[in-house]
Amino acid sequence: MRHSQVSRRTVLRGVGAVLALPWLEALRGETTGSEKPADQPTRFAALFFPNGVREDRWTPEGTGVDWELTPQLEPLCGHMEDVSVVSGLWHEACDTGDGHYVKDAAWLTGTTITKTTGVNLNSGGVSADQVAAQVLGERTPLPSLELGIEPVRAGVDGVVGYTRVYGAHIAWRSPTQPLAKEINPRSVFERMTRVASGRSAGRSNRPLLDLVSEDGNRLRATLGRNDQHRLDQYLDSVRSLEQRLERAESPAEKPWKSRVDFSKREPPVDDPQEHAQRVRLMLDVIALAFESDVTRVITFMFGNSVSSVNYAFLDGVTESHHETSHHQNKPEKLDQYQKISTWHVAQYAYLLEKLKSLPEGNSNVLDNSAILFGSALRDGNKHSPHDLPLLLAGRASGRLKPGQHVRATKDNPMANLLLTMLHSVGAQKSHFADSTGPIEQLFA
Amino acid sequence: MLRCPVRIRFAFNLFTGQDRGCLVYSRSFPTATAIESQSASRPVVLMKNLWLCANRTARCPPIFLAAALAVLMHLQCPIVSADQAFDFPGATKVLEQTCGECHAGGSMEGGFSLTQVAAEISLRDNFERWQKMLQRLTDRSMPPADAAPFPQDRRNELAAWIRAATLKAISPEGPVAGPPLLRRLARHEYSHTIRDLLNIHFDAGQGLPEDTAGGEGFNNAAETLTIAPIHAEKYLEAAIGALDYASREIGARKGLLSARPSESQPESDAAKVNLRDLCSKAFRRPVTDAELEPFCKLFREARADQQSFDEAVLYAMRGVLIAPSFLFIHESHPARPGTAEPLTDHELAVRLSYFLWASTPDEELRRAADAGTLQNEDELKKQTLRLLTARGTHLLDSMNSFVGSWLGTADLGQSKHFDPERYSWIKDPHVDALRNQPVYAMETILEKNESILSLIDAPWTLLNNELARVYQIKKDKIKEQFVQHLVRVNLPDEYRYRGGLLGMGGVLAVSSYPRRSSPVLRGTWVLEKLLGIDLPPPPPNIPSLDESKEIASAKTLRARLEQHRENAACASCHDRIDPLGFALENFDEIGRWRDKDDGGPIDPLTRLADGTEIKGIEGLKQHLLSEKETFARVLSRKMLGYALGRSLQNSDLCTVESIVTRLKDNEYRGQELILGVVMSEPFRKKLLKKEETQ
Repeated sequence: MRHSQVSRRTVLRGVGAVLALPWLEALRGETTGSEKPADQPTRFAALFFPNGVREDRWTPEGTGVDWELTPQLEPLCGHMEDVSVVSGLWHEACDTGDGHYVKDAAWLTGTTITKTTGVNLNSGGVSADQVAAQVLGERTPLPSLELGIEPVRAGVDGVVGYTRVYGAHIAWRSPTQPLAKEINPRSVFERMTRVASGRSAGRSNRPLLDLVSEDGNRLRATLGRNDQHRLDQYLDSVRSLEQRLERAESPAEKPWKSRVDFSKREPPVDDPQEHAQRVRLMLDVIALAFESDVTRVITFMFGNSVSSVNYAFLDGVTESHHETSHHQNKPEKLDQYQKISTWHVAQYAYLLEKLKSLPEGNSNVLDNSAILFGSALRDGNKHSPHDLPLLLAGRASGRLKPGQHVRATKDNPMANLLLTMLHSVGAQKSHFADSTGPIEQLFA
Repeated sequence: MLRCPVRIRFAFNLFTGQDRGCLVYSRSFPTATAIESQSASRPVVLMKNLWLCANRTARCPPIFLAAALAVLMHLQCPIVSADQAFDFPGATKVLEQTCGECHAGGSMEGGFSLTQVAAEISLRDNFERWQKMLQRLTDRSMPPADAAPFPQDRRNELAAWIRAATLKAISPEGPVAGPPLLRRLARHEYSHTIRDLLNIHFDAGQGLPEDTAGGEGFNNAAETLTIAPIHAEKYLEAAIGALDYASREIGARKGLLSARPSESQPESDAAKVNLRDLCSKAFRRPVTDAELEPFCKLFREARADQQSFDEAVLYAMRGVLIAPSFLFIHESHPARPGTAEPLTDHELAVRLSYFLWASTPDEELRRAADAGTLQNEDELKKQTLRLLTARGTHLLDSMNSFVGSWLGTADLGQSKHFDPERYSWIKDPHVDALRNQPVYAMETILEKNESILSLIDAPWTLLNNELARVYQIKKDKIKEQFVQHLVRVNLPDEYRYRGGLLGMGGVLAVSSYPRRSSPVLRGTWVLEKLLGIDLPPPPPNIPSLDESKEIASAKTLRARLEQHRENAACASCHDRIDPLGFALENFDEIGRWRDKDDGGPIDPLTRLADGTEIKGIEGLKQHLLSEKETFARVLSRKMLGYALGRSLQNSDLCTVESIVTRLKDNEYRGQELILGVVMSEPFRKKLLKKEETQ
């Protein structure tokens, strides 16, 4: 499945999206020359879980459309048409360093991160979701959402010599700018509500943001280059907020409109402590974000690297995730490990079900999305980065053909899958990380 | 093995310590270490080595035995006498003698050969390697127990020489300053700052994204305080929330709007007074009229839009709270690169305040900075001690961050939860108390200027009802009264083991799994947090040792772990880790005392890799107290890294040494630790390296 070139078909398929106009125009309902109407957005999501899977019960027998569910994929039984299992991929650049951070931080970048407890923090690349956001983000108030569940553990990991920044971030806007994630579903809901309503109560805050730039520029002049860079990140974030408010507050044109009336939706519980409940509420938030169209790009982490979440809430599980993943091939440990990964797949299935239930034009939100689910390890016991467990759901507005088991030859780049996703949402990159070409079988 | 012919040396290497099986030998000759610890005389060495050789003759041709004996005889002549001060060649000789059998010639055990440190320039250019050697020497994990013993006093001398020589090589001028600081406020600092600035009890930073630790392991490290696009929005939201809250609190509102328009004071002037007041506090320095003008403009515009005076001022104040000058701690660049320059008084006040209070300078500190007296050593010392001891001190806020990150106890109730099924009775107040106990201990030590060694062992601890419940302590056995708040109590003999960090449930819980204790995690915890030893991760594809709970149900965890240590590859680290953890096996996974685990009675007697015997927690405490200088070094390093808010550089280790010396000279008193940090070159000065200029 190595592809040296982008095929003509792929190029043509992406043309519509390439021609698609930025935010304002696209939402005025003007035709874009695309094969699909402008009111059917395409979304990109990547759902990450740490610590890998039970490797002997993951990969299905059979390839193409003729495949059967394995025990850990069992929760997908109602969604075999919506999901493709992709086997045989890895990130060669991550076959180094420690067992977790190197792999997890680079899951969506396909690069080698810099080993550090802080100085010279560097992922080596921009993550695929942020590449997608460069295209899709212009059309929505929020270019992307970064979500998670678990608070970051205190301290640096002295044992392996990495800052836990790496274990807590999969979205990298630039190699030196990891995107902080929100972990409280309630606050994400409130943020979306604010964004959807366009403006805050009372006087506009835009003039305040002008002033930040003024103060920032004065400060900037006194700094060295590295420090300027850091300050610029803040000034950039202020500027993009300013632009968003400007668009929302400009009375002449209402280019973007929430597809959901948030006032009619029940806000999630504030800061729920039970893991399962927190995950469920966050998945609801993801669905709501896509449904309302506040963003079209989402990354989500079920847990951080070396997650110590205690899964004793599952029947028959007594230990934390990471501990269980070091199963030493003991049947009772493997059994628990399997239960935990099956639970994760079930959560994925829940999200797919939910997105599918949201109609959009004559299809549904799931069909207009490309939703990746997977881990940066296969077997946690060996910290093995080969043959990663990866699932891709959705039709990306008709560009993808799910329902298959695509088995690549050993050690093909996972970057090919990420490139496929990027193409499917209209980001026509010629390559991504160490990609050799998109995976043709996955396209419709 | 000086000048011993290469051939013989090689033969000797083949003989001893080449395979990791050596660890097994040492175990099957238990008396050797005992003899060594009593006497390090040469005959004993010889005897033991002869024994080793004899032990191996079964598989070694006699010629090797002869060669080895020849080498051993050679070792009989002392090369450097004990009273002679080391120089580089002298130290090299001792190293060759002591380490050569595994780490010289063609032999590179553990990837290390003495050739890597053979040249004097390596003290500087291969500094990390020297530091590693130093660590293995001081923790007595090298030379291994079955090698020729290395007398303790010689060991200490050599270690002291390496420490001094490498520091001199890396930083000939002694302690040097670091770069000027630019970092945003960490989330907890933001919360405390807003609280103190607006005089409200409201956690304004709660909605901000979480920070991740970097540098020496703290959330205030400049390099990991990254900024994402979400930050602007969250800061704006937090500012609005905080000011709204303040406007509803009578006291806070009055504070912000103290200047009122009057006949003698037109409203634009009154607004300016209010804004200047907040601005100079928020920016932590005096502000110019030019800087103030944009905020005054905001006020005027809002006023022109029919907002009331109060509303318009409060609106302009939002601008202050999202200005980079507020959100970023920044220090001006020194005029001349390559020359250290003192911080300005205001910069120094900011460093001091965020170090000790994790918040903005209070009025008295601001006044000292305004008066320009803070550079004065006496004044700086006075202010430092005031921040540690004054009524209303926020030392606890800062120590909460420092101790929680250092010990990992901040995870309690965050990423570390108690098993909800087994410990359904553990509620938030219990978790809070477990998390706070070490923080309060640190605060007490600093406030009362007690010895930092009280963290290792003390006849007191802090208790409240919740902790007494967790620890199953009978209240009537404790003289002091306590209810909800943590109170310092003297420990009666039967609870004496609770003194010091290792008797605290928070510490014992973060180094356990949800349903069982883990000698491996605890041993690693002690090594890393208290002794500053970061062991390498387990080699790839080898499952960790601590996963054996479910097997061999008839045996204690310890017995099972000891089985694993028969594997030589694992033993090289786990011989160092596990015994420390075994000593704490009397505590279960939430820190309750127990005399047996599900496999049988607990045997708290263990032996360290060098043969030192340790019996239970009291023995472990004694062992740690015997390493007090190492502990002081770890704590000094952590404290300096925390105070500076950045990763330490090699040159900063000179400063660490000066703090350690200060501690040693002053009975290890807590305030000396803080003063050592505050009075240090890198804390008080900034230096721009020549290549770092714009």
